[in-house]
Formats: sequence, C-alpha cells, structure tokens
Amino acid sequence: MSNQAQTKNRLTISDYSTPMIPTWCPGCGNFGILMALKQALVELQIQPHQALVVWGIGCNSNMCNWLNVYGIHALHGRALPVAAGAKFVNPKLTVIAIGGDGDGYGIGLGHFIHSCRRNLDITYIVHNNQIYGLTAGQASPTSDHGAKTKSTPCGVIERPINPIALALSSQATYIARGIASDVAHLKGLIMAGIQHRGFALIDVLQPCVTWNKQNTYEWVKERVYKIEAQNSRLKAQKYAEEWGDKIPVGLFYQEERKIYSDEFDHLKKDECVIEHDISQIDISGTLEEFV
Amino acid sequence: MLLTGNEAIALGALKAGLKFYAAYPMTPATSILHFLASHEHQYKIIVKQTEDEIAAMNMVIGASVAGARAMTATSGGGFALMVESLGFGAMIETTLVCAVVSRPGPATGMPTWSAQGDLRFLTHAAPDEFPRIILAPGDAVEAYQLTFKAFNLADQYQVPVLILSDKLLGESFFTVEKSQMLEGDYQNSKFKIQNFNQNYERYKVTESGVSARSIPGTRGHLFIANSDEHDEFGYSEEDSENRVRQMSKRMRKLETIVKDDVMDAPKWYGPKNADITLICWGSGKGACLEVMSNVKLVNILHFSHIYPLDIDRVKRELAKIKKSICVEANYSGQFADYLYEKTGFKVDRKLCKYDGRPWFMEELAANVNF
Repeated sequence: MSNQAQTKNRLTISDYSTPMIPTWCPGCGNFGILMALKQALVELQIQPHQALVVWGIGCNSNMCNWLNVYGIHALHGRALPVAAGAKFVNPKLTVIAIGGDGDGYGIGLGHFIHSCRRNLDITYIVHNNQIYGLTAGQASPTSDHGAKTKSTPCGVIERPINPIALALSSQATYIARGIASDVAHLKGLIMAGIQHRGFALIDVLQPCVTWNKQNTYEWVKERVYKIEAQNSRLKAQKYAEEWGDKIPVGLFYQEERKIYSDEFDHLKKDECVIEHDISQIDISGTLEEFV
Repeated sequence: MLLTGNEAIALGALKAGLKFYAAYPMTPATSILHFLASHEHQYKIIVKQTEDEIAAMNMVIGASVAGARAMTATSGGGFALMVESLGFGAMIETTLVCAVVSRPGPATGMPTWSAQGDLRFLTHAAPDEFPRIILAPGDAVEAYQLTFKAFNLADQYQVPVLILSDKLLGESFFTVEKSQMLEGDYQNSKFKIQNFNQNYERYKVTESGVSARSIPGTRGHLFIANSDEHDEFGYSEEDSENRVRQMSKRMRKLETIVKDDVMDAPKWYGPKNADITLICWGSGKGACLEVMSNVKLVNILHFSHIYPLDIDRVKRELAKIKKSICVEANYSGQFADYLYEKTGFKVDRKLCKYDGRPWFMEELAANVNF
C-alpha cells in the first residue's frame, strides 16, 4: 500500500518535460546532456519547484524551454553570478548553472574562475563542443590549435583553454568530464555533482554535428577512456593535462571543503535570508553610531 | 546627527529590508559597500564584493529573482559595465535597485571629484527600450527616503530603480534630525500569487503592465525568467503579436507609475513670485538654497523624481516661472535639454559647470542675472 503510494508520487522524466519541442539539430549532443540531467533529477527525486536552473546564451541554453523547473535564461557568460545571487539568499534551492564553452570559458571566464574559488553549492554543466554553434560556426576558446572555422579559415592560432586544469588551479572542489553520448555515465557525474556540497564542474564533450566536423562522435569515442575519482591534486593535474590521442573522462578530483556560506558567522548553516521578516526593521541603534 | 549621502543611502536600504548587497569597489560609491559590510552581522544581511561590476549586477538579479531585496552601487564607469545586465533585469521584470554615484568622466575621468554628467546615460542605458525609475536625491535626508522608496517602487512595479547621486552628495557631510531618518512605511507586493496550482502566467498581460510574481521554491508556479523575448509563461517566443503584447505590457508600466502618483512633483523653495527661478536637480539643491538664502531674491524648483516625468504636473509648475536658470554640473545642460524634450519648456539660461568642483555659492550668485 505504502509502496504503491510512493510509486505514484515518485517523480518521472515527464515531470521535467515541458510542452515545447527542442529545436536542436538532429543528432546534436545537447539531447544526451538534457536526458542525463533529467535522469539525474529523477533519480535524486528533486521536485521541479525546488530546482533553479540558470542558463547563459548558446544553443545549449535554449534548453530553458524544455526543462520543467524554475529557470533563468540569463545573458551570454553571466549564468554563474546569477546562480550565485540566488543561492546566497535561498540555499534550500538546488541550483544548477548551464552554459557552453564560449559562454563559460570565453566571455564568462572570469566568473568561472571566481566561482571555483568561491565554492558555493552550485553545479555547473558546460556543453563543450569546441565551436560557436548558435552564431553559426566560429572558433571557441576550446577549439583545437589549427581548427579551421568560419572566423579562422587558416586555423586557430591560440592554444585552447584547459577547463579541467583551470578548475583545479582555481580551487574547485568537484571536477569532472563527461561525454554527451554516454548518458548513463554522464547522469552519474551530474548526480554526484549535485550531491557534492560545493562548486561542481562537469565539462561535457558535446559533438556539434552541424558546425564542427573535426571533433565528432567518432573522434571523441576513439580517444576517451574512463578514470576513477582522485583525491590527489597531483594525480588529477596529470590527468587534466592529458588531451590528444587519449582523453580521460570521469571524476578528476573531489574534495570536501566548507562552502562559502559555511564561513558566515552571522548566519546559521543554510539560513535563508529571504525568510527573514523585513516588515519592521529598526535602525535607531545604528543612528546612535553617528555624531 | 552628521552623515554622508552614501551613508544615508545605506541606511535607507537597511530600513527597506535589504538582504543582499553586491558591489565592486569604485570611487565615490565605495563607502556604501564599507558601511553595509560593517553592518552585515547586525542586520543579518549578505554583502559580497564581486570580481567585477557585471558579476555584482547579475548576483543582484539572481538574488532578486529568488525573492530578496537586493542592491548594488557604483559610479559611471562601473555602471557602464552593468548596462547589458540592467536590460536583462528589466526584460525579466525583476526588482533591482542600483545607486550610481557619479564622478567626472568619460573613462577613468576624475575619480575623486564630482559631476552630474550621467543623467542622459541613465535615462537611456541598455539596448532598446524598457521602463525604469530614476530618483535623484538632493541631500542626505532625501537620499535616505528615496532609497527606501526605491525598494518599494521596485517591488510594486517590477522595474529597475536607479538612484542617481554624485560625489558631492555621496561624500559630503550633512546635519540632519534623527527623526527624519526613522520615517517610512514598508510596502510589499512580492507575493501576490493568485490561482494556486493553475496555469501560472508570470508575464500575464495586464492593464497596469504588472503581473503577479512568484519566487523559486513555490510549488505550482514555475516560470522562466527569460532574457529572450518570451510569452506569458516565459517561454522564448518571437511571434510578432506576442512581441508587441509583451513590449507594450512592459512599457505600459511607465504610464501606470505616473498615474499612480508616485513620482512626486518638483519642490519649490523660497518666495512664490520671485523674478528668477533656479531650476536644479539632485545634488544641485544645496548650492541653490545657499544662494537663495544669502544673496539673491530668487526661488528654486528642485527635481528629485527624474524619470518617468509626470509631464502634466511638471508643466503646471514650470508655468509659474518668470525667468529661469538651470544649474547643473555637466557640460551641455543635460537636465535642461531633458526638460525641453519632455515638456517643451525652454530654460532662459543654462549654468553648466564641469570642472569637477561643486558650484560655490559666490560663483553661482555672481552668475544669477540676466
């Protein structure tokens, strides 16, 4: 009886779906990431109204229309500070930020680094397709050296950003890489990222079937191999540096550390300042501080 | 008691129930950050110094969407960095408050000096058009009261509210009565949620332009705060009719704000039938009052509720003027031109000072003539 009731109340994938139909290209890696995210939310039984997902701008971020949660579709590169503001005032929400490589490692790179060292309890999923998809095929900060794109017809001259190494040196406490085509593996990384109390980066290799003919599903498949969780920074650094014929995926590094707000000595653990009564604030005591 | 304009802004925010303040240090707005940081414990608020102004504005937006009274402050250059996000805040109809404490620009300009050169910048900041409210206090008491009011207006109309101050007001000391700093009625329009568990339309088209707001965590009231043009639920939507509906809904708030009588009339100081009226706004009030009480037989018309302008009401006041001089601390006479644009009223003379120094009584008095 109680089991039945529980089964009935149990959230399913459809609880996270909206009436809208995704407009991504057929075969886009984003579908796998969306599915992995939904599965992770189902498995963790996070109520849609208790999840706040903040997107930046990019093909990936059009997902805001296809995931049934509280959503904020923010500006290009700015998902992380918006997510931080919400998490600061309401730590009860499960806060997830989502963006692409251009969004998070290009225009929003500063916020990414500071979010790592800030260590708020936010999960950050980056759809890393090594190309600008929404603007139709320009080089991105993670495009390989020599990649020929519409904006770099002779090949990219700069060396790519290494998000895993960057997160590690910026003191992030959960650092993982998944691939869009292995939904079950990615779901596990996202679940563990949400459960991790701290800033969790999940960089996802996401083939763009329309604009990136180099880093394809086959290209990814030929190179990736799975690694297990590390708690040694040095070992994690070694794996982080690996990129080319072999690309490690899985959990690179995890560390239990106080989150930012744990170090507030004026607020209780996970205290929601939005629940404070602000109808009768008395400032008369503060006025006495003045001459 | 003795306090600065910046401290008055901080006190007004605390009184209004500020819960989250994020800012990047920038002279001459920084002392607001210092004051609030030193009162973080007492008022159980969160004060965050951010990596840049863009982060500050976006954190404030996130905190606002989540249901906190939130604010940032900066000077002109920092505000320039916030501008795209300001438009984002307006697009998703959140309730943010931002104080801009001006200094001479452009670029780094003169960081420790004063100017009123950002008026036109604030009235037009961010791409395309959206409703906003701009308040420009004339002294410390007004800075306190208008900051308090800014939070109420932001909640009531779900628009960005900008407080335009400057170095002169922000860092000068004022003597005020404590009683003036304790006034203020709290109003809250945050949780007007109807039709529980029905299809909740966060951006429902209404006559006033304002729609019922829910906050994340509330069951049955999911929505997307979408920087893309969106429909009533927040879903991205580029249909032409929807665009017109949502754009008009947002812009209609400007009429509602004026109709609701919340934009106070400009204030008169001095004799009724003076031959010369000094028109001023924001921090210009102090020097004009000094001239009036010590030197010349003039009166003053001071504007603190800058945008949107209650045009009919302002025109009625302007009609009482015999000869006018508009006193400002910028190069072109931005307020005089703004007044002309909105009301057709042309000031007889502009007195513009843009050397970074405040108007001194003696030099102003020497220039008050025809």
